[in-house]
Amino acid sequence: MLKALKSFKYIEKSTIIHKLDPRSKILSTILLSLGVLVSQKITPLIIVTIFCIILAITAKSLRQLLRVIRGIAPWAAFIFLLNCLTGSDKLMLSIAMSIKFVSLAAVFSLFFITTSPEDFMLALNNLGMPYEYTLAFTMAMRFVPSLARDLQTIIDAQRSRGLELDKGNFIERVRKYIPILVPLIVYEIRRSFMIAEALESRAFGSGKRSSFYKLKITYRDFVFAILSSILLAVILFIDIALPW
Amino acid sequence: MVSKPDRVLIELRKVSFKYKGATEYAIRDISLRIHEGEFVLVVGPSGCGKTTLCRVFNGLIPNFYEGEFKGKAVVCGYDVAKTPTYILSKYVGMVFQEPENQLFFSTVEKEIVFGLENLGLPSNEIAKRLNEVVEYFKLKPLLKKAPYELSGGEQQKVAIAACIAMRPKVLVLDEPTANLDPMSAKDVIDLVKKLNRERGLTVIIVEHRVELIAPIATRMIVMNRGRIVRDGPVRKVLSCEDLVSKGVAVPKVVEIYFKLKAKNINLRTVPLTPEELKQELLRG
Repeated sequence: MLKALKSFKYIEKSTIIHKLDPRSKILSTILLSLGVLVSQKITPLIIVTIFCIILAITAKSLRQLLRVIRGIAPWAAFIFLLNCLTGSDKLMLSIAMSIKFVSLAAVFSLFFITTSPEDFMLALNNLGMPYEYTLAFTMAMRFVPSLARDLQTIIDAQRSRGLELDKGNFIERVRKYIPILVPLIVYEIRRSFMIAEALESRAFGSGKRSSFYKLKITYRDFVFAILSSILLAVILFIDIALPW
Repeated sequence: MVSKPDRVLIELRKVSFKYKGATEYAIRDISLRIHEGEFVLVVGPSGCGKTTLCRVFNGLIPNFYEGEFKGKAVVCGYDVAKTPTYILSKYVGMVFQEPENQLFFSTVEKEIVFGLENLGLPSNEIAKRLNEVVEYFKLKPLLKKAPYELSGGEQQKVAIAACIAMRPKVLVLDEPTANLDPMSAKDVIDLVKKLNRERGLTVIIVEHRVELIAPIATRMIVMNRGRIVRDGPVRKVLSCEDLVSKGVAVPKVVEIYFKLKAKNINLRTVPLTPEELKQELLRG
């Protein structure tokens, strides 16, 4: 699962998909995931998954997408089993449910694989979300590596004082994480003060911000949005018209 | 330079501050004037109030930190008690000890642009200033890199560049080299020196590596227990024999000066660099 999460990490690449306006990608993600959520049949769900794979190939990110799918495969199998056990004579529906999970994950991860967090935030700003909120999100992403390093430093420090993290039963191990979490939380609170101080010193909070980075919608975005809409129509049509 | 050399940029009159919840004042009765173009070194033992003093300069005290503020502090014509930090940050750039905590974005470019956006500048002006600092600080190869990929020295350089892009009149640096290796520390200090000499930027720097700053600073302030105990030209302050007892790590050359003095060998002036010491000795 953790590996699957890691695959969400954005890697800068110069492809048509990466260059699309994040707003058209948001629209397409919403349309496709709606289609996936509504659909109860195998064929449209497979179409969405294949569409995602084609997009991933265009974005030169197939490996990342496959890693996500591999990461969630056990969960898909779990969903399949659960559906088989709870209902009788519902094999097709059970298969559809697990594919539904896979295609939904594919749709969302494709968005995060091909959209930089900052572009995503810029799009949210443009769609009316206040800058303070999106900044908090961007900074949260930015400070993940710092937090991981702090955690490692504290673990090393406590280990060198004789804390044995790998010994004992589950409850003992959990208790051993207290001397790690307390300093970590204290330090991160201090860090957040330092960050707030630095933000203020760079004129943050004046209220009349301008924006240097601007999003631009091109004909490609229209093509992409129309393509996604058509796909949604196809999904809905198949879902109603075909038996499976 | 066009500006008048003796223009007062910062004036503190009997400023005291006690943090909320603290029992003692962090700084007491601080009065000082800082003029345009000065290069001020602030030293003193840990907990003597240096950082608190820096926070007064850009209004973090009393606006961001709660507590008891007494006296009057005027920075570039603004009363800090009545002016939010985001206005003062146009005049006072602040660089902190931990480079990591003052860089918030995924590229160096966005880091520099952030402050300019906060000032509400139009895009063409932001582009102009961005180009300018990139050129001046030679940041071109780092522009698209993530700040956490950079070395500590480079990070601090970016932090300074991000401040300078906002065109402040005063640059306050609070132990900017504390987490750096000696070579990077020297690079950062050389950069600050360049800004002071070439652009006439007023610099206030808190630094434990006195030997690094003493030769380039014009003024030295020694603090102890929240008060200013010495304030004057660097050489004059360093020639006070009681500095060590006040918790200041004086440069080795100054120590030698006093040891020679104890043996009745009196040099003409306090040397600030090994070269100066050599010259003085050769003269005698």
